[in-house]
Amino acid sequence: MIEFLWWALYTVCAIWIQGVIPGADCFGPALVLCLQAGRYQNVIWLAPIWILLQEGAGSLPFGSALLYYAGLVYFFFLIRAYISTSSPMYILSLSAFAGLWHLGVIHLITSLQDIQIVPQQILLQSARIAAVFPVLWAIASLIYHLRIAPRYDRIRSPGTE
Amino acid sequence: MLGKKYKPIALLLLPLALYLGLYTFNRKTNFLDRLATITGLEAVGWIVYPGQWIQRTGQGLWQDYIALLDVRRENEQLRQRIQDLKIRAMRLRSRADEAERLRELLSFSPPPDWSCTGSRIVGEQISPSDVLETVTLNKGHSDLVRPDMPALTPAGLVGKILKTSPHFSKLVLLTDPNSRIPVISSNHRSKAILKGRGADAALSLEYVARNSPLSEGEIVVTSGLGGIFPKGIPVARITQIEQTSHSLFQEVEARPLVNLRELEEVLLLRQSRKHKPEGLALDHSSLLRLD
Repeated sequence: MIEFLWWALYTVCAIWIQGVIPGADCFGPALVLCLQAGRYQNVIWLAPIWILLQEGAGSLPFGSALLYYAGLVYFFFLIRAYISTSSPMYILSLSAFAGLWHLGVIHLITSLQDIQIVPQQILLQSARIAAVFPVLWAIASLIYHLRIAPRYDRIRSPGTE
Repeated sequence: MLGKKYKPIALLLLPLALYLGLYTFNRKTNFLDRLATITGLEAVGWIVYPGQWIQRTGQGLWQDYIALLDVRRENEQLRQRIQDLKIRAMRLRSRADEAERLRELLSFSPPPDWSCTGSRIVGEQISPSDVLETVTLNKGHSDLVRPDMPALTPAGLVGKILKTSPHFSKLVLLTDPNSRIPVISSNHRSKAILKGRGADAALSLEYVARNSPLSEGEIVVTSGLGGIFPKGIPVARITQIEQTSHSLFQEVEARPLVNLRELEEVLLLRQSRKHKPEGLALDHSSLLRLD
C-alpha cells in the first residue's frame, strides 16, 4: 500500500516537475529505479499509466513514449551484463542513452508522420533529459531506499555476484 | 550456446514486431491516440491545474515577500503593514489585470456565423512527447471544444485546437513549424501562406509573388480560404521584405500580433452553422496540418 501511495505521489510530483522543466522526463529514472529494485510488478502497472500520461499530454501521434520507455528498459538489461548496476557509470550511461534515444525516437516518429520540428529544440530537450535523469534518479532512489523499501535487494550484474 | 547468443536479438525483434503491430493498428484506427488523449491528457490536466496555482502563489510570495525581507528589517511593524498592503495590492493588481483582459475578451465580437467561448491556459510543454508548439487549455470536448477550432485573443490569432479530452485540450500555436495559415495583407490584398518556424523565429510569408505589393509594417489577416479560420482575423505584422534574384517569390518575415509567451486566456471560435469557405478551398495546403 505504501508503495502504491509513493508511486501515486511520485507521478503527481513528476507531472508538476515536467510542467516546470519543459521537456524533462521524470518517469524514465523511476522506471530504472523499479527495475533496479527488482520490482517488476510495479513496472507492469506503472509503465502503461506513465506511457498514457506522456502520450496524452504530448502532441505527437501515439508511439513515441512507448518506444522511448521500451528502449530504456531494453538498454537497462543490455548494459547490466557489462557494467555493475551499483556503479555511477551505470546511471550515467543510462542518462546518456536516455538523451540520445529521445532524440532518435522523436526524429523517427516525426519523419514517419511527416511532422516538422525545430531540431535545436529537440537537441536541447534531449540534453535536458540526459541532465535531469541522474539527479531525479538519485533523489527518488534516496527517498525510496530510506523510506519506502529500506530492505530492498539490489539487482547485481552477473560480474558482481 | 547459439540460443543464448541470439537471445538479446530475439528480445529486441519480438517487442519491435509488437510495437510495429500496435503502431500500424493505431494508424488505421486512431484508437490508442484517442485512449491516450482521453485518459492521459485528462489526468495530466487535473494534476497540472492545482500545481500551476501553487507555482504561481509560490512565485508571487517569493517575489513580493521573501526576496524583499532584507530591505524591510528596519521596522518590524511597518514592514508587516507594507507586506499586508503589498499582498493586497498584488491581489488587486492581479484581479484588475485579469478583469482588463476578460473585459477585452468579452468585448470581442465574433464574425457572423461564429460564436466564441473563453478558455484559460493551464500548462505548456508538460511531456517529452510534446515537441510541437502547444499549450494546454482548461476546456475540452464536454465544453463543445473540437479539433481545428480557431483560438485567438482580441489582439489577433493564436492557433487552433489539436486534440481534446473531456475537460482539457491541446492548442497548437501559429509559430509551430507545421502551421500553415492562408492570409491576405490588409492594405494591398496580396495573398500568401503564413508559416511558423518555431517559438523564437519570425513567421514566414510563403508564395508571395515578386510583383505582389507589400509593405513593412502591414498587417496580414486570415483570408478565410480552407474553411478553418474565419476571414479577417489579424494574425501578424510584416517586419521584413526581401527580393531575391534566384526565387520567383519574395522572402517575407512577420511577427505574431499576440505575445504568445505571455498568453493566459484565449477565445475559441465555434462555427454556429455550416459555413462555406469563400473562394477556392485549399484543402491540400490546409492550415496547421499535422498529419
